[in-house]
Amino acid sequence: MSDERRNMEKLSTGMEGFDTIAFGGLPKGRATLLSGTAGSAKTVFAMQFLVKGAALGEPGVFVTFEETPADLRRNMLSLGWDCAGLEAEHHLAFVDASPRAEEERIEAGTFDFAALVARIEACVRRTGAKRVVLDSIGAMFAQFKDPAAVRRELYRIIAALKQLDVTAIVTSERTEDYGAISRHGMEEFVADNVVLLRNTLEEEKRRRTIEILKFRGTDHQKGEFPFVVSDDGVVVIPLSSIQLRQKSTTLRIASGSVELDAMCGGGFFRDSIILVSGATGTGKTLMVTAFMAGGIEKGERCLAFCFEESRQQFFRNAAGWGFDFEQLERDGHLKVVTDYPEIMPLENHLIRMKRIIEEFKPNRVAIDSLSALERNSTTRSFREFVISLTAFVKDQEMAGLFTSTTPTLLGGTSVTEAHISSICDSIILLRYVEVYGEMRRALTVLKMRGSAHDKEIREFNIDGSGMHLGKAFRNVTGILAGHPMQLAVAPEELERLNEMFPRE
Amino acid sequence: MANRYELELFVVGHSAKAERAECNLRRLCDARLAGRYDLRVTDVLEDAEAAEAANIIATPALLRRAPLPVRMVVGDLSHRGALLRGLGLDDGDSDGNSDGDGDGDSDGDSDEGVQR
Repeated sequence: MSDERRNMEKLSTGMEGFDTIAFGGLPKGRATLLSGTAGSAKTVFAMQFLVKGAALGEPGVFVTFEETPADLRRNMLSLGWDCAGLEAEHHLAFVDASPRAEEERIEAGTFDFAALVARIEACVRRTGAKRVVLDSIGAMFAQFKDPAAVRRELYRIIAALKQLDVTAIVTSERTEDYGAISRHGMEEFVADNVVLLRNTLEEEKRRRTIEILKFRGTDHQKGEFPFVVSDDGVVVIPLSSIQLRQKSTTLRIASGSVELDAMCGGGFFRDSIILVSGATGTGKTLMVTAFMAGGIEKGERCLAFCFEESRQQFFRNAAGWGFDFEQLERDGHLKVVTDYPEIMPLENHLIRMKRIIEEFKPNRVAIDSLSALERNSTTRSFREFVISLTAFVKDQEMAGLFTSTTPTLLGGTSVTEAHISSICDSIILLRYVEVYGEMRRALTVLKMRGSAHDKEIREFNIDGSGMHLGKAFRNVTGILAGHPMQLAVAPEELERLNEMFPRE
Repeated sequence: MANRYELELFVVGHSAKAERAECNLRRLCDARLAGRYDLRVTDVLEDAEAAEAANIIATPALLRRAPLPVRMVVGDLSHRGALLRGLGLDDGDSDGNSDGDGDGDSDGDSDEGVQR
């Protein structure tokens, strides 16, 4: 039994992410039921299975029970899939079993679907198809009056598919995202393999997930995985399959500030994630700017995602600190991507950001800020986003600097940090400190995984030339808690304290 | 020629169901449309293309190509009433239905033809 389990062959769907959670693909030579509510991307998933197959040299047959082939061709063009082109090259063929509105159909006695079976068989033989899609079989119940006859005949079609030695996807509707597997009990026919697509509403946000309910005789990842329908189809985000397998390095990189490098024990680590947390105006964007500039100075490529400011603002700020980012971007050292977080769901941002990173191949990536992205998502999606993105960044041997905005001006942590602080390798806090009627800024390195670091809370100044770290706030307590209090310390005592913790 | 019936019966192989359908159809046509119909029997196994073009899913399937509108009658044609309705040869009640569908003209024509 265990031998069989291991030997069950899978057919690589060629779909990003799905093969990962399916441990290689769909069970080869079998039919898989793909069930989901209306709008859960069943047809897109099914068509993508054929389009990707065509690219792998495996022709496919799409049997449509609902939409006409003309409609499908048109709809799929928006995803960049040229069905007509694939048909011309004999990589794809349609079997049209969609109802014809202009044609009246009258039932007069017993019938069977032998004609449809014969058409599918003929089409599979003609094209040499290895993949078949039936979309969606539930529509047959609307076309014929006798449900018992339809069920019997659908069973005949699925049995015929098994004989054809093709890997098939059979789609079916569900009425609820969490309920019966499919309408009309189709899972009784295609019982071996069941995949569910969900499109749920969570905190007013749409969340798409895919779950492999079962693959008979072969293994797969359990549970729901988020997916997006992007410009080129379904992309599954295989979260739990992300392994902590990143090599760690002792290679240090410049943070963009010599003083901060010193505080961190010689700079950031190359493949590490640094979280910079602070209230608005504490200098997070400056940290990003310095981080980018520090990399470019060393000949590295830098990529910044800005979700809070426009390109112009970002460039103007950088110019104020003496960096001509516009020129650096023209020269190809830097790429700045600005977007409103709200333009698309977080999952889509993730896919898009990964794609941009893959294209630009930077050494450093900055996100300003994660909190802006968090506004646009649920707690769960956000955590998944951060885990997935940090794993991706580390895997590419890049350094990532992410900023997070605290909701209060003094002290405080943001929800963002609570979710991701354990994922980050280093955490730098930027805080306001009220000292004798004046707002000062403070910086401290809270965490520096794998290295000793300066534990002081240092004064942080911003001027025309960028950021500067000053002395430690020796006579103030409660900065991090958000209740700074001056201590009445005698000057000699302050002197003594400074000697106790000598600056390196 | 105006009232000539062009009929095509799609079957799969030589099943009992296929033979029953053809038999039922011929009997009715000979009784009601003698000399006014052409019947072609197509075996989907031999001509899948034709089945594809006509969008045949269930068989036996009778396609009434003329007079218009095109109509499809599915099954072994053992339900005489349904077959008559499918061919547009029924009198009375279903005429009203057909009128409601907006294709009352052709039905009316053919019925008149039968009476003449």
